[in-house]
Amino acid sequence: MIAIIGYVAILVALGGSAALAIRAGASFLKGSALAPARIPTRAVLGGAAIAFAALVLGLLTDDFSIGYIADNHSTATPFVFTIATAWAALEGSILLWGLVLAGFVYGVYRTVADGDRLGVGALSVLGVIGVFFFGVMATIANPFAVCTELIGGVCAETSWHPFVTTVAPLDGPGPNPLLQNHILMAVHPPVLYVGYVGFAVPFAFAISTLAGGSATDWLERTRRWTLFAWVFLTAGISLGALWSYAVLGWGGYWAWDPVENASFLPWLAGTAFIHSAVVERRRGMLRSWNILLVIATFALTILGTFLTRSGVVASVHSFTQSAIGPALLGFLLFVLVVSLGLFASRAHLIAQSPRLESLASREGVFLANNLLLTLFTVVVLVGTLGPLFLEAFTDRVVTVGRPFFDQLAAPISYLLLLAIGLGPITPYRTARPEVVWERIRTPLRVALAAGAAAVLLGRREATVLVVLMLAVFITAVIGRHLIVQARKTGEGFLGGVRRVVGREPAYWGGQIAHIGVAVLALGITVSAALAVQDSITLRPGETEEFAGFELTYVAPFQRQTANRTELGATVQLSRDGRVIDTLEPRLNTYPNQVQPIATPAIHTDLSGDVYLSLTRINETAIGLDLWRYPLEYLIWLGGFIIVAGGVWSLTMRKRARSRPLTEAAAP
Amino acid sequence: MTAETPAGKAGRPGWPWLVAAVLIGVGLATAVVFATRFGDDPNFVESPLIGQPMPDVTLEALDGSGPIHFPDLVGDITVVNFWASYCFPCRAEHGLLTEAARQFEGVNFVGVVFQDTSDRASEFLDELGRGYPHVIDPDSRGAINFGVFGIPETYFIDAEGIVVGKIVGELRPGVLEDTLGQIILGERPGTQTLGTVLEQP
Repeated sequence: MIAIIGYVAILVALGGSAALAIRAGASFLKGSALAPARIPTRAVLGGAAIAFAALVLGLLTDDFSIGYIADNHSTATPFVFTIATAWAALEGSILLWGLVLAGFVYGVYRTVADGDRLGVGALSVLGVIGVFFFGVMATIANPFAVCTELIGGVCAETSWHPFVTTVAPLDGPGPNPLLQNHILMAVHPPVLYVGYVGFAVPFAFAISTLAGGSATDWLERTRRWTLFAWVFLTAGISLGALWSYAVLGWGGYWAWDPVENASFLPWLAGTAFIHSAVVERRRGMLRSWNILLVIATFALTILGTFLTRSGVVASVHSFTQSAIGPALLGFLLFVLVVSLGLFASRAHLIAQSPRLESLASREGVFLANNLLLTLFTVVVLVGTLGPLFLEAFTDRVVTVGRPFFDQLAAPISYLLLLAIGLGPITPYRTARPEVVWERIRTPLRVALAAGAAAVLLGRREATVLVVLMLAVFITAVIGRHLIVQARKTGEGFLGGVRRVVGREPAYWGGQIAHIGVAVLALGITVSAALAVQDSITLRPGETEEFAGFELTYVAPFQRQTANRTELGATVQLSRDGRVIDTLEPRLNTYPNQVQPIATPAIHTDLSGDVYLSLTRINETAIGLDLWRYPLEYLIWLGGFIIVAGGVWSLTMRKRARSRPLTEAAAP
Repeated sequence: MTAETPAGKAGRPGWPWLVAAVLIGVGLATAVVFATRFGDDPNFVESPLIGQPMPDVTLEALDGSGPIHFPDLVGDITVVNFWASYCFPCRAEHGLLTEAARQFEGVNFVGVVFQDTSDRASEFLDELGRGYPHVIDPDSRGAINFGVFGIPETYFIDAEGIVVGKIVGELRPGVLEDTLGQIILGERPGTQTLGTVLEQP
C-alpha cells in the first residue's frame, strides 16, 4: 500500500514537472502569465513530499515488501539511522534530490509575478530538470520497486512498478555499516544535496535570460539563491571532511578521492561565480562570463551526482552500479548541448559590457580571482578525469594521487590568498598605488612581524611561514579597513563597527568568509607540515612516548549495542606524568559485514590533536596508528567561519534607506 | 573574456560559438570515455606481469635464515602472497594459505611482508601459524617489481618461471585449489578479483 502511494506520488511529481515545463514554457513565449504554473508547481511539491514521506513511513513501519527497504534496512537499526536510510542508497538519494528540487521550484514560484518573463522562463527550465529526475525515479531507479520473489528469506526479484502481488522478507541486512557508524553520515548528504540542487536556480534564470535574448537582472534576483546553495555546499563539504577525519580512521580528512573532487568542482566554479557576479552587479561587466560560469557550475553538480552514483570510478562513495549512470550521463550531455548552444547563439544579445579600465582595480583582482579559481577547477577536473582518458585511449593504467593535486593546489592557493588580501580594499575602476599602499602598509608590517615571530619561535618550514604571513595579512587588512571605516562614522568604535557592517552586510559577510579561508589555510598547512606519525604495539600496562605525550594501554573492552559489537582499547593519554584524557579507539563490527570498521579516538586541546586508530587487537597486545596534528581544529573553525560569513550575507538585510528595495523594481 | 562582441557585429561566428564548441567537445569525449566503463569493476586492474617471467628479486627471510632469490624457485609452481599484520583480509585468508601449502607439497609458497615491521609480522605469524617461508620487503622493491596495488594480492608462477595468475583481494575457500589445478593442467588463469585491497597501511 505504501509502495503504491509513494509511486503514484512520484508520477504526480513527474506529471507536474512536465506540465510546468510545457505550460510555463508556452507562457514564456506568449504573455508570461503566471497562472499556468500554479497547479503544476503544487503537484511537483506535493508529489515529492508525499513520496518522501511514504518512504520514511515504510522504513519506520519495517515494510520489507519494498525492495529498497528490504535491501537497506533492518528491524535492529536505531531510529536516527532508520530515517537516514531514506537517503542512504541510490534510489532514496535520488528521491531526496527530487524533494529538494521541488522545494526550490516552489520557492522560486513564490517570487515570480504575473508578466514576469524571466521568472516564468526559469520555472519552465526547472520543470525540465524535474522531468529528468522524477522520470528516473518512475522507471530505472524507483525507490518503490517491490519484492516479488524470495529465495532463502532474501528478496531475490523485484518489479519496477508496485502494481503486483508482493512478498516481504522478515528482516533486512540494514544500511551500509559506514553509514550507520556515525551521525555525521546522516547529515552530510542532505546538506550537500541542498547545495548541489540549489545551483539549479541561478542556472534556470541564466537560461531564461539567454532564451529571452536581452539583458536582465537575473543576478540580482538569484543572489540569495546562489548564496544559499553555496553555503550548503560549503557546509556539506566541510561535514564530509570532518566525517572522513573523525570516523574513517585513516588519519586524514581529504584524499582527493574522485567523489570528494566531485563536490569540490562545483564549489570552485560556484565560488568563482559568486565573485564575478559582484562585478556584473556593480559595474555591468563580465555578463557572458557569468552565464558561462553558472552553466559550468550546474553541469559540474550533475557530473558530481554522476560520479557518485554511477560506479565508474573507484571510490569510497560508489556504492552501486546501476542503470542510472547512462541516464545521468545523457542528461549531462543534454544540459551541455542545450545551454551552450543557446549561449553560443545568443550571448552577443545580452553582452554589451563596459571595458575594463585598468587591471589595477577591484575588477582586475576579481578577474585574477576568477582566472585562478577556473585554473583550480581545470586542475582538479584533469586530475579526476585524466586517468580515465589515458586508460581509454592508451590502455595504460595511471593513477593520479595526492602529490599531483597537492603540488598544483598549493601555488594556486597562495596566489588566491594574496588576491583575497588585496581585493577587498582595492578601489573599483582605477586603483591609485598610493591608496592601496596606504591600506596595506600596516597589515604588511603586522604580517612580517608575525612571520619573524614564528621564525624566532623556531619554525623553519617555508610553507608554514608563507601561509602564516598571508593569513595574518588577510585578517589585518580586513581589520584595519573595518576600524578606519568605523572611525569615519563618528559614532564611537562599537557603534561605528555596527553601522559599517550593517550598511553593507553582503560585503562584510564576504570578509568574514575571507577570514575563515585564512584560518582554514593556516590549519591545513600547519597540521600537514608539522604532523608526526608513528605505529606502535602496546601490551596491557605498557607506556610508550609519542610526540611529547605518554600513552598507556589500560585494558581492552567489548560492548554490545543494538546494531553492532564494539571491540576496543582504553588508552590513557598523559603529559608530564599527568593524565589528561582517556581515549577509546575501537573496531565496530556490524552483523551484515565481516570486516570491522575502525573508529578512531581523538584528543583535542589548544595545541592540536592526538589521533589514535586501532589497527589490531588480541589477548596480548594492541596495535595503534598514531598521528599528532598541531592546530588541526583550525580547519573546522575555518570552515565554520566561512559558512557563518555566507549566512551573514544571506540573512542580514541592508539597513540603508537611500535605495529602494530591489524586489519593488517590477519588470 | 572581456573582449565581448558588441551586438551590432552579429552575423559572423564569434567567440561564444568557439567556447561552446570546445566545451561540448570536451563533454562528448568525457561521455564516450565513461560510456566504455559502464559495467566494469573500477577496482579491476589487469596485471601487465601475466605472461612475463617472474621478477628478479632477492628478499631476506623473516626468521633470519638468509635471503630467498626468487628465480631460484623456478622448476616448481610458486605462489607468492603479499600481506601485512594490519590487514584484516590477510588475517582471514592466512589459514587457507597454510592449509594449501600443506596440501600441495610440490608447490613453493612464499609470503612477502608488505610495508610492515618484522616485529609485528612475526607476532602475526606466532599467533596464526607459519606453514611456509616468509620474507620481508623493507623498501618495497619486491612489491614494486610484482606491481602490487594493495594487499592482499597473490601471484601464481608456473614451473617455467612465467607469471600465469594473480588474485586480488581476500582468498576464498577453493579458489587456491582451483587456480593451482588449472596451472598444473598447463592453463593460464589470469587475473581474478575477489575483493578490494588495502592501498595504504
